[in-house]
Amino acid sequence: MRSPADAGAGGRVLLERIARGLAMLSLLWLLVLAFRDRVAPGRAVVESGELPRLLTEWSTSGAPAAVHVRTVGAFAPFARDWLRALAGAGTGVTWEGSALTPTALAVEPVADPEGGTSGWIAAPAEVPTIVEDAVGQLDSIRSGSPGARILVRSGPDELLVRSGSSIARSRVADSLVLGRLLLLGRAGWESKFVAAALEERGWKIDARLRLSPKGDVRQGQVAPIDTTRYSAVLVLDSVGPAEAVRVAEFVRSGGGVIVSGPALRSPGLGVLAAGSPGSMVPGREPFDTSAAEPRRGLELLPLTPRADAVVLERRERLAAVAARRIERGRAVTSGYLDTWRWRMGGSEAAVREHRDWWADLVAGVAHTVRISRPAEGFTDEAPVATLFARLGPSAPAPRSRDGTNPVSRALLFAALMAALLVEWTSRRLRGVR
Amino acid sequence: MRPFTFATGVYASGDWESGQLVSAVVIDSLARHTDLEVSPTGINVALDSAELFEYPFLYLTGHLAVRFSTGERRNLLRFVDRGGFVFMDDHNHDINGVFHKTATEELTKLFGRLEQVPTRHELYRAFFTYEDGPPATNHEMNGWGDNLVHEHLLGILRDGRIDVLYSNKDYSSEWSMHPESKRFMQVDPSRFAVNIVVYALTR
Repeated sequence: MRSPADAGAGGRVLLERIARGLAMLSLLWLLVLAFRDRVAPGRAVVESGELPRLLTEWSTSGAPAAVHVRTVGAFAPFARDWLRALAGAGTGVTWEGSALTPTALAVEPVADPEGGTSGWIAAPAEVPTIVEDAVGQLDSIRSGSPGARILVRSGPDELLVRSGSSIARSRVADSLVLGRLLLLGRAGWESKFVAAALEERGWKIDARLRLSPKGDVRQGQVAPIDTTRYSAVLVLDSVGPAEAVRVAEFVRSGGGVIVSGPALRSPGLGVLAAGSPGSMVPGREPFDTSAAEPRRGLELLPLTPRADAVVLERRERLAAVAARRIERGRAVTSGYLDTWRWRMGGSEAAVREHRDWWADLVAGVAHTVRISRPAEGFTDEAPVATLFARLGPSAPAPRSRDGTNPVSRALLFAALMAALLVEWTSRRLRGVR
Repeated sequence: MRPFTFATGVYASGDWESGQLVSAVVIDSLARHTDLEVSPTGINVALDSAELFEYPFLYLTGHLAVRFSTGERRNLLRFVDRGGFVFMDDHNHDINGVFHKTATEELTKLFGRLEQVPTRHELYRAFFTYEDGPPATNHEMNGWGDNLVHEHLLGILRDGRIDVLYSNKDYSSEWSMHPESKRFMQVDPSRFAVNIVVYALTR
């Protein structure tokens, strides 16, 4: 019969064997891992700041089986694209980041003989956003709304937007071929000064202005109203029904039209207008010469916009300028009367402001022919979106396939040492060496 | 849309008011020959007032010496710079007259040297056609004043466009009549005024 002391010794021996077995298994596992690492480097967990050096190493002396990158803010574009290339070559690439600022920028050339670049910006409303060109900062935006548009009249080919940690950059990809403008209406100060403003801007203008029963004032060639010759038609006063039909066909085929002032009351042009005119509202008297609200001094036919129109400008609560699409073309309607008074009587900058305002209206509707430029330079229009598209969504560092990572190796080693210690202690307490 | 208004410039020196019948005659001609919307009466507007810029066509005349004030000069410069059109006529028909000397001095100081408007300039075809340049006046034909028929008008031209038109043909006397008097004339003598106004409105 076994005594209790014999039973206790048997339990210790069993414990010692289990501890030894555990130690052997841990050792074996560590050996396997070490062997694997000799065959192929395992998982690398790195910070984005180390990437310039590591990417070169990985590309010249062997990449690890898997890479996990931690970043604050978006990656530099070259690192993002290089990681994508590594992933394409078989390296598992994952990433996790914080403080990413989703930002996007798109640029378009402006339909204006003086050039100009229009930029559409998407960025978080709460983050200050800075717009730059190759020379330096152009503007800063904190609009409270997530989108903004910037018009840069100097016409840089490339714009850059910094928003938080993100930098979006975009280049103009097309050149525009502009046609002529056709001015229709009645001889008078409005047609004279609008034509003068747009000619100063560089537009070539044909005009047919009603003057007398003997004939009209004609400038330029008498040509059919079509998009091969004209970018836009400006109707500044009433026109005959046949002319109105021709203008409508021109717009449906892709041309632009601006219907302004008294022309709004021309029955044939109603189909083109973005709104119907109400009763005339007088301007502020004496003529307002402040630069802040330069059109407040003008008389206005307030617009009731059509359902498909977008109001571009208001005077207090009244719609003053509206726009709409008509099949392939675009139409802008302005309710201001006698804008020449602004140019003649406005502030010191009135001539330039009047010219810019009319040029902007025309740019908004003008038909253009686009010619693609050869791709040059670097663009990164939506860095965060591109990061997700190239490397997938952000994720915490995954456990490797064999269940090991630097932490589990340390645990394995600790378990090995603990098992050996338990066995050694137990044997010494039993008096066995 | 505001109609065309014939504005006569009021300046502090001289006799700006010497051609007070001219506006009615020009307005009558515009109404007879064109579809332009025209104010039935002209207006007198001070050169040194902000109101000047409401009337982009400005008529100036007189017999006496002209010396613009600082405010008048500043406004005239700004007026032309912004696209306004000035028609200045010597009511003396006398090349050595005091109005001609002083008015051309003032214009030269403000805008630079006056030059001859070529007889083939589009001014002479803006509405009626004048193949030989500016029409002669009865005063010229009768040998009054300096006893000359002036073949050219003078002007301040920018890229061929007339900003300031200066005449020493004395159209102000030629057009100083009541409009109804035209019915006794074979040719309306103020037809050339239609050319000037149409040119100002369309070029």
